[in-house]
Amino acid sequence: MKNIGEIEVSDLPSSLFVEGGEILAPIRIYKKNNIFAIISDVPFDQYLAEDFAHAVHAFCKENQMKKIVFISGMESINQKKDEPEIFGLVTHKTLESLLYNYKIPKFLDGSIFGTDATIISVFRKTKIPLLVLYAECHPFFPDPKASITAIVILAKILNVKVDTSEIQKRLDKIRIQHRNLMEETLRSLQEKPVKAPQIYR
Amino acid sequence: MRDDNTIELRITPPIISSLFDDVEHGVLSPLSCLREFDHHWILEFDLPLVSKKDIKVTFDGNSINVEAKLKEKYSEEKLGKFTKFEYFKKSITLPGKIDSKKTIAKFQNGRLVIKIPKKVMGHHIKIE
Repeated sequence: MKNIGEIEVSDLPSSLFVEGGEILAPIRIYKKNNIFAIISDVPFDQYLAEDFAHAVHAFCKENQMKKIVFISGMESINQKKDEPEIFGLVTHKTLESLLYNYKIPKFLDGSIFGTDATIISVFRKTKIPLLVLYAECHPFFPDPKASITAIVILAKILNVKVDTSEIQKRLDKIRIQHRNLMEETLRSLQEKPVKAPQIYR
Repeated sequence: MRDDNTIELRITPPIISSLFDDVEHGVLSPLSCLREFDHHWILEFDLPLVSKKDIKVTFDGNSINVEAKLKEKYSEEKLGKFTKFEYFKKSITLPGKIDSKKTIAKFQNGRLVIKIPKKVMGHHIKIE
């Protein structure tokens, strides 16, 4: 995908990334054909998430987006199956067919706090429908297996091919590499009086 | 190791593990989290790239020490130079007396889960 722009969120601590000599903003927009992807390399709390969600909505409206798919994690220390499960939640009934077509169990009961709640609250008041894919994952440790499971479902929904074989081989090393990101994310969430997003307790 | 019938009292999420990496000796500090229940604690360590046979868990008073050898050396850039790491090592002090004899551990999917019963220190008071 091609990097076509970035999203600025006021109050987000000033940060930049350098990759191969190129300066990158922390929140970037990529595009290929009719699919846009928004990626953030920095964690942000529920208060910053509101500005972020409004900025994303403005961008989607301007580009006449039909739907948004958002990936998140669902706390699961006592995961029952070896493969993490994915649950879906939609803001508008028009997206419910996606859950049936791709056999994604519906997120039926529970509570949503923090950043996720802020983003969902913003979009449920707009005309652009949002599908949230919740992947069962460990709340405190990096869980690339959960990410891969979510990406595979996302690829099916978007009708694109994704090859995860290389990532599968590096799962353990990714878990070590991402210790820092995990710690920064937890620290960011703990600075405000809110717990890490969790659905079932 | 499920704890469906117990109430979780407190969660202590990981502290900044990577700051405690020992670059000189090639030792990584693993992520860990501590969950407190009525009668026990659950202490969990994230130990990717490790085999069960290469994990050593020891007690020292109320501290639990975990040491594990990596299956292969892991390289990471630290302080501007590439460092090779061969071990995970961490010591956690629990906020109370532990019953080390009844402690059990399980290693699955690169995560070490240790269930540590609390030691009840008390005596009966005669009611007159």
